[in-house]
This record gives sequence, C-alpha cells and structure tokens, in this order.
Amino acid sequence: MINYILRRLTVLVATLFAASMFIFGVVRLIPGDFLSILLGTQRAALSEREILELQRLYGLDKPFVFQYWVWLGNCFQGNLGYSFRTGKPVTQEIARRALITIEIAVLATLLSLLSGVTLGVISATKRERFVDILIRVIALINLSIPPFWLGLIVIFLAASLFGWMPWGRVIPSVKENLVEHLILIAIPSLVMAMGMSGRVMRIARSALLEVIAQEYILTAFSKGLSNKVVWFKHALRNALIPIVTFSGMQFGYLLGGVVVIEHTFGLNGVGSLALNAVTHRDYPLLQGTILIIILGVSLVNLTVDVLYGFVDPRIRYD
Amino acid sequence: MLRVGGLLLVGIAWLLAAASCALASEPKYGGYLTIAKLRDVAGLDPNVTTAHDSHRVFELIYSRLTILSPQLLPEPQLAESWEVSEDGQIYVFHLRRNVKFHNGDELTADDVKYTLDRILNPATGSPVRTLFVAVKNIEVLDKYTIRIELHYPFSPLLIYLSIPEASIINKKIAETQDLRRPESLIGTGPFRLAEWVPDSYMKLERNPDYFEHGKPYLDGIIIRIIPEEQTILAALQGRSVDAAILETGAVAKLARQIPGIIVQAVPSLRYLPLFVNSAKPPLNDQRVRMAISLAIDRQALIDMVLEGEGVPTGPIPPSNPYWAVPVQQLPGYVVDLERAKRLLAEAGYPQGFQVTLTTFAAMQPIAEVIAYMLNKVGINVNIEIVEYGIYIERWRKADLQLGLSYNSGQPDPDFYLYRYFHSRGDLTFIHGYLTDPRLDQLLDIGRRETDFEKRREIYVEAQHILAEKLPFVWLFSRYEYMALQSYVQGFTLLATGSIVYLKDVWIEK
Repeated sequence: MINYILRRLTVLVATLFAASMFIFGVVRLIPGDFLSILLGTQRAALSEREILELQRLYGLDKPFVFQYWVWLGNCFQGNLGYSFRTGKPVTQEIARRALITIEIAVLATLLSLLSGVTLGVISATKRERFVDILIRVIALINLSIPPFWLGLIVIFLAASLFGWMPWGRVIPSVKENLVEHLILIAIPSLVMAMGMSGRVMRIARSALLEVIAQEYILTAFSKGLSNKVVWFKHALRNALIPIVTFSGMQFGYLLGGVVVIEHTFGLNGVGSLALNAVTHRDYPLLQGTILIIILGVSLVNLTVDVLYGFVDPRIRYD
Repeated sequence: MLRVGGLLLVGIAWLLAAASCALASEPKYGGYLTIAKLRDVAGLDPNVTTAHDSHRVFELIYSRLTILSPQLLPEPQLAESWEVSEDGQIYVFHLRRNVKFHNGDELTADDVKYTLDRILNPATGSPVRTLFVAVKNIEVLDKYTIRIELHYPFSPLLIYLSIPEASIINKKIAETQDLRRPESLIGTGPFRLAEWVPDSYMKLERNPDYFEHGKPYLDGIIIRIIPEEQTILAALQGRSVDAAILETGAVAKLARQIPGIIVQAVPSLRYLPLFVNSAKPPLNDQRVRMAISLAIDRQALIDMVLEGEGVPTGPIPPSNPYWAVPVQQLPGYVVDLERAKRLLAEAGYPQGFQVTLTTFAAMQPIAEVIAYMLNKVGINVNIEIVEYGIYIERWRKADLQLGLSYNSGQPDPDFYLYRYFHSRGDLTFIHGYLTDPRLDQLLDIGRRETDFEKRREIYVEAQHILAEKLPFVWLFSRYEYMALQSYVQGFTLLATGSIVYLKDVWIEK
C-alpha cells in the first residue's frame, strides 16, 4: 500500500508539472489580455509605446518561455507571485479562501452521501412500492432544480419572511463564532447537496438492485439469513464501490458548482477567486488557483482509490 | 465668476434631488457604514486605473485638487483657491496647508507636481494622459503654490483635475514603493485603508487628520462585495447592509418598494452608443446611418430592456444639462419608418441589407431589440456575441460593423466630442475616421473658450452636426443608483457615480 501511494504521488508531481505548462499556455491564449481588461476601451487611447511600458511593468514583455521559467522557479519555492489586480500574494489569497470552499465541498458531499445512500437503500428495498416511487420523484425534483435558483429562493424567503439575511455581512470565522459560522456554511452546502443527493440516490438504488439480483445473494437468502443481514452486510457493501467512485468524480464537478453557490451567497471561496481571476485575466492568480485546484482534485482521487481497498478487501494494490 | 452663476441655476434639479436626504438635523458622529457593491477593485494604481470599481475606493482614500459639486462644477479641494491668467494659459493653485497623508507626511506642491508629471509621462501608461496634453509645464513656486502653464487655453482643466485618476499621490511613497500594492494605498482622503480581503470586504477607517474640519462623521466604511445583485437586494431587505450601489434599473425598482429604503438615482454620464464603422458600405452612407437612427425607437428600447429606467441621449448625455441639446431638437430622434425606408432606397438598398452587430453577453437583450427594430425597415441584423475581453480587442481594432457597449463620460463636453470626432482625436478609428472641417473648428475653439455661454453655443452647433452625420447612433443613458437605509443621512450621489460625498454622511439611529 505504501509503495502504491508513493508511486501515485510521483505520478502526481509529473501531472502537476505537465498541468503547469498547460495552464500557463492556456491562460495566455484566452483572447483579450490583462491590460485590455484593466483599461477597457480606454486602451485604444494609449500608444504602442505606452502599452509596451505597461507590459514591462507587469512582466508581460519577456518571451513566453522565459516567463514560464521564472514562474515555475518561483512555484518550487512556494511563491505563486502577486495578483495583478489586488497586488496581494497569490498563495495568501488562496490559503485564505480555500477553507470555505473545502468546508462547503466536504459538507455537501457528506450530506448528499448520507441522504442519497439512505434514500437509495429505502427505495431499493421497497422497489416499485409507493415509497420507492415517491423517493424517485423527489430525487428527480432535486436533480432538476438548479442550485443558483434554489439559493436565491432560500435567500429571498429568509429576507422577506424573517428579515434575516446574514450573508449580507461577512460571515464570522470559526474562531469568532463557531455556531453561526457552521449555520451559514451549512445552508449553502445543503442547497448544493440537494442535486447531488438525487444523483447519489439513483446510483445507490441501481447498484443495490444489481447486486441483489446476483446468485450469492440468493444463496444468502436460502441459507436463511435475515433480510437485514443480507441487505446491509452482503448487498450494500458490494454496492458501495460505484458510490465511492461516483463521489470521487463528483468532487471535480463540485468545484464547478461551488462557484455558483459562492456567487449566490456572496461567499469568498476558491471558486469565486478563479472566476474573478478569469474575468480580469489576472494571470498569476489564475495560474495559481488552477494549479491548487488540480492538486486538490488529484489528492481526492488518490484518497478514493485508497478507500477502495477498505471498502472491498479484494482490491489490493501490491 | 458670473458665468458660473448661470450654471448654478441648471444645478437646481440636482440640489432638489440631493435635498431629499439632507432634510435631517445635526450630523451625528460614529458608527460604521456597510455599503454593498457588485465587484471589487480592478487595479490599485490611481493614476492608471480607469475602472469605475477602483474609482469608488480612490475617491475615499485620495483627494484631488478640485472636487465636483452636485451640479458637476469644479470646487476647491486640495487647492484652496486658484487664479487664471487673462489669456487662460496659466493657472496658479494655492494649496491647503497642514494637509496630512495617512502616513503622517505633509502634502506639498512637490507631491502635486509629481502626480501630474507622472500622469503626463508616457512611461506611466496612464489612459487619462490625453486629458492633460494641454499642459506644457508644471512649476512649484513654493511649498504651497503650484503654477501650471498650458500650450493653449484649455477650459476643461479644472474639471479634469477632479477625476479619480488625478488623485494626488505621495511622492515619497511613489518613488520607493509599488503603487499596485495595497500597502501603497496612502492618500489624504477622508478614510484610510484598515483591512482588505479582496472580493469580500474592504474596511476603511476615519482619517482623524482629514483636512475638512470635523469630517468625516462616520467611524469608517465597510465596502462589502456581493457579486449577485438579487442577493444585494435581499441584504438591503434583511438590513445587513446600510447602503448599496445598484446597477440594474429593475433591481432599483424593486429596492424602492422595500420599506425603509431610499434609492437615489441620477442620470449617468455614461451612455450607450451604437458604434457604426463607416469605413465600408453600406454604413459609409450617411442616409443609411440616418435610417438606422430613425428606425430605433429609443424610448421603447428603454421601456423594454431597462423597464423605463433610462433617458434617450444625443452626442452629449442629458446628465450634462447645461451642455446637452435636448434630443427632441435633434434630427433623427422621432421614429419614422417610412422615411427610413425611403432613405435606404435612395442610398441604393431598397431591399435593405445584412449587417453584423458585435457585442458581449450582458448586452444581448438590447442587441435583440435593436435587431428587431431595424428588421422593420429591412435591415437584417446578425447578432454576434463574443466574450468581453474579445470584444475589447475587436473594438480596439475597429473590427466590427456595428458595436454595442457603454462609453464612460466626464462632466465636460470636450471629453465626449474631441477624442472621438475631431480629426486629431485619438479614437476616430472606431467610426472609420468620419470627420468634418467645421466640426474640427468648433471643437478647437470649444476647448479654448473660457466663457461658458459662448462655449455652450459652440457645442450646440457641434451636436447638431454630429446628429446629422451620425458617426455613432446614440441610444440612451441609464441612471447611477445608490440605495440607502433611511437612517443614512447626508449623502449626495454624483452623475459620475462618485461616492466621494460619503465624507458628509452620518447615521441617524
């Protein structure tokens, strides 16, 4: 196992290196550079010489390969540069915002797994009965509601019915007010988890139904084992593999969804950071953020692969 | 100063608007004001950054030689007084004494000279350099006196000295630090930077050494960034913010319905033109452009896409009432589809023609309505939506037939007309170098004339020429909005969108 993880980490470093090159290129390929966004149509008022001076100020006048080399060198020293727009260190910006995104992502994943698997199990065991149909309809509704819309509805109801709109203020940190912090994070997480739980429920249900149709389950029943033991010990455990796989894959999607939720609730996470960096063509910030996101997703996938071993003892990596 | 008196009358409308919030009693001290806004700053160098989002911060942290009154006239700020020579080519400014930067340094004429020289130096890359090219020489006469010599009389100077890009910076800091870093945000303004989490909030605290005695009244301001306007609306309703800068007419309308919310609205200096590239047929024909103008029902456009929250504009927006010719007096503003069709036929397009309108996603609804209106006279508009950055690139190269994006404004007619329509202007490429000798002449004397009455006559004629030639098809101006909880007192919103008058605000609870 240790060997496996080490091997994977080596691959991870190589991936990051390749990704860094890709990111650096792609970010600069987006039409309309930083100066165009900074100056807008006013850019036309500047002569070529003035533009050149500005490019020099931002280090954009050097050859592409040279810029990349300098950036890579700094990355290895843990320095992702300064944001063009805010003049703040990129690492500091990401570190400050990462926590909120991780909190939402983890909480939304947990909530969706918990509710999705529970509902999936219920609906599989009560197959084609009223409860099953009800749960499937609920899941479909959950899947169909866009999170940004649901988020706005939640905000509006809170503000108009209760005059309560805590996201207008900056939400307190964990240290300042733990309870309030958790509540204010939990509501957006719940909004995100809604759609995800619908998906998890469907996967759990179909995986369970597939497993339950297998011969060893029939054997288990014919041995006289109770319903409970067969469903939970024999069936569910084997049905967990696709659920775990799905959750791992979901994480990448989650980072996309978190952008929308952060936007709606005015939260400051990595998602909105990346979005703002794109709109302003803030190259250092954008590169740094994408690199960190790739690192995060890779680590989650690694964790999922390692988890397989625990979920299904037949999977061995050595 | 008599000519300024005439302008005062024009400003009464603004005063009335401002008066609604100035009814209250004595100002009270204390408290933080939380103000919500959609976006954070786009850059920190005050002399270079033209983004309005950055300006809102520069206005509070820095000061300038002059400040715009609610009537948009230049008034003393860092310059306590000034004298203008007979020929209008020499300005002598007397600075306030004992003005302190936030780091304790005293502001002197050296800082002013340094700032203006910096803007004028092409190596700085300041987009507003073109506004100050009339400046020939800047001389420090003594610690508190500065003399500006001009190449030619240039009456917009006092107004241009009030713009956020003309914020006076600290010479010592500019020479030793990078002005793009937050540590360098050190000015002489009513508030100083205390804490900043980008895209979340910026905390500004009262500058105890501020030069206007007794001001500001607030302990500080928290600028809270909420990227979704609907969420801002909910925050106003839930009273978790005290004020909000709104951008959409529909949202402003909803905000007005919230009990305890007052929305200040002033016509904006920004305007929306339909950019027309006249370099190639069919748009090179003046009759075709007039047909476009006649086919567009501006009021219907405003009603449809802005829910009525806008005003039709000519070459100078109605937010500049002293200078702007009312659109009813300009040709091409009364919808006339028959005449439009006749003009197209005369120009050789009896069946109409195909044209591409390039813009970006936010403008799509407006583009759709324009396409619909032009279709009625046979002009088939193909709408091309590109990403904003790409749009800017295309605009810069005039790589479009029709374009649609807002243009910013300054409270002086010269700004609207010279750069775009004088043959020596730097932005004439956008309409395909459509210039006119009489217009050149008018714009030349317009910027030299110091008598405001005479100046106005000059610009009235210029606007008539432009409305005939139509290098742009001017559409409308929107409003600038500030929503305030009713306990926020003393605020005046300027047509520039400036929030500099937060220095006069107090909380009445």
